[in-house]
Amino acid sequence: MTLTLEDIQKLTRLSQLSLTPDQAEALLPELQSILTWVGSLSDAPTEGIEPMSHPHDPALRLREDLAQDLQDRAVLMANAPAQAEGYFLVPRVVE
Amino acid sequence: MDLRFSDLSGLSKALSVGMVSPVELAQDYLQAIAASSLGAVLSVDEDKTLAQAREAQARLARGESGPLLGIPVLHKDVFVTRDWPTTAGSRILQGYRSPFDAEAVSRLAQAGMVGLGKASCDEFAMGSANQFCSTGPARNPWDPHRVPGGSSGGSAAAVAAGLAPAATGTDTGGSVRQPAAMCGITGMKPTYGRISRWGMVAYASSLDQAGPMARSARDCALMLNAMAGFDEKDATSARQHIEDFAAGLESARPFEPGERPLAGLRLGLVREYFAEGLDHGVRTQIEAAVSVMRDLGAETCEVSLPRTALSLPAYYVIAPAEASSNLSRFDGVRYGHRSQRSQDLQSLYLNSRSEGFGREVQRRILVGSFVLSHGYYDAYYLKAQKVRRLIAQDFQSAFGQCDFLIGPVSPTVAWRCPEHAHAQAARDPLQDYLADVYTLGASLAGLPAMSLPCGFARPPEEGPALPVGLQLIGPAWTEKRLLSVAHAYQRQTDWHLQTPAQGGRA
Repeated sequence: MTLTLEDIQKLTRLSQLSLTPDQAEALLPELQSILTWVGSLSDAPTEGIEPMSHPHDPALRLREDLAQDLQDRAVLMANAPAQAEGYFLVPRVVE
Repeated sequence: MDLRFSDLSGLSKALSVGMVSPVELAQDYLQAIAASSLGAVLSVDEDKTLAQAREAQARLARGESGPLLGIPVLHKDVFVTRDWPTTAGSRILQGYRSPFDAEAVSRLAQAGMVGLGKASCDEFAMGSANQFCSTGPARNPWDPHRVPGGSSGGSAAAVAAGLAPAATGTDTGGSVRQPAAMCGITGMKPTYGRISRWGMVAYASSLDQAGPMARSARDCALMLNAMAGFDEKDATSARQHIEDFAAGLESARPFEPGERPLAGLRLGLVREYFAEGLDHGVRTQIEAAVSVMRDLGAETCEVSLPRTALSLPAYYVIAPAEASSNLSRFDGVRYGHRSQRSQDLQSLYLNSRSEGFGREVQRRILVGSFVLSHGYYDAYYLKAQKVRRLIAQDFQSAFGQCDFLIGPVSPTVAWRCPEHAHAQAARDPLQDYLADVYTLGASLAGLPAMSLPCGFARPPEEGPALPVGLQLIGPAWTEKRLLSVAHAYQRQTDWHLQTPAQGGRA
């Protein structure tokens, strides 16, 4: 697997990050070396092995269908960088 | 009398006889924090701490008792707290105030522990040296030119330096055990599901587990008693029956010659943990610790975890994959840093995240996006999950031959701090990743594991002798016996009683 600058741009987009061309250039060999290294996994025989996504392979737990108290909206929104009238403010989306 | 290096039982006794009050005790530690230049603590708030201490004092005055009542504790900054900001070591959460306490934090508070503040850590717990905290690195109290380990490096350094008698940590791939080893304290990563993850800033959800960090196995047991237990707010919390982890650990006296408290215990020496790459000085200390275990009656045998080398790439696929998903919540809208350079919603997301996340975090998010992306998912992510299953099976078959596994925590003692921030950023990330080779297996398999101080070794370069950590790994849900073995070792040795002020005895 050989990464290109275009791959870095695509990953950056998927990750919702923005990199300057210099940063992308600096990241290329770092990510290349990490991915080559983790690529050694492909040598491990895993025929018929079930993927393990969790230590205890748990079933989802059910609970009683009861209303629960939530914290006050004002408290939950207190960390918002911008808000008004109980809404989060963002730049205009629709012109 | 200076109580700062006392164990929790000593502090509890001093409090109950009125030798010191919770307020005085908290003030002592806050002063020590203020005078320290280790960078181990990110935030304190004297008023909040003293209010908690006064409450503990009132509980004591009402005749309440408890092994943790009135005793201070420091929390790793990935546990959300109402009384202190929570940043997870990241710029993106600068100034964030949680509306609630993490479950582990509130359980320790219910037990009467008094919060001292928040401990430094690698950003979002991603690091093995505590050099990736956005407000600066933390240092090792045994040698301030060296790293304290990570990612719970601030917690470990603070306990070792007497800035707190105990601390909380989190362990995703070794983040409790490795800094505990490098700072010469005792730390435990319990079985996955033992302690609620509610209110822990998520890194890799199928691996993250909270754990106690303190001066001894007994202190860890006392904290675990308060922290452990089912919590319906965490979907992965386990319904295990309540045990008293500290029962039977009361006596600290050394055993009489000929006493064999570990008779019947079989310890497996993991062949791969003693292979090439293990520093000579570390090996010598681990071998000496194994022979103490034998003197105490334990039998030893050699076992193999043949997929040990694969735990590194498996972890560095799975953890970044989960991180890239978990960290997508930081968007500059609901909380956290918002870029001032944004004209539209898309650039607000991109700029907020790029300005807020440090380089290592961005690296792991990008790796995570890659291994989850179309065309690579099967070859990397799914493959890593299959290898994870094989690694868990390796542990299972090893436990067919022994009760616990024994070996080093880390291949080396603490390494030198990079001189400058850019030197750390430019350091080959793989170099740090390799330091996790002995801790990742237990994390991937979800098993309980501990780090115990077991001696000192001189670094290959010049410098003072530095602590070495002994690792014990058990099958799931065996914390109680694991702690009793660790306690037996600590009755017979005094490595856990050494403090940096005296210097390490190599």
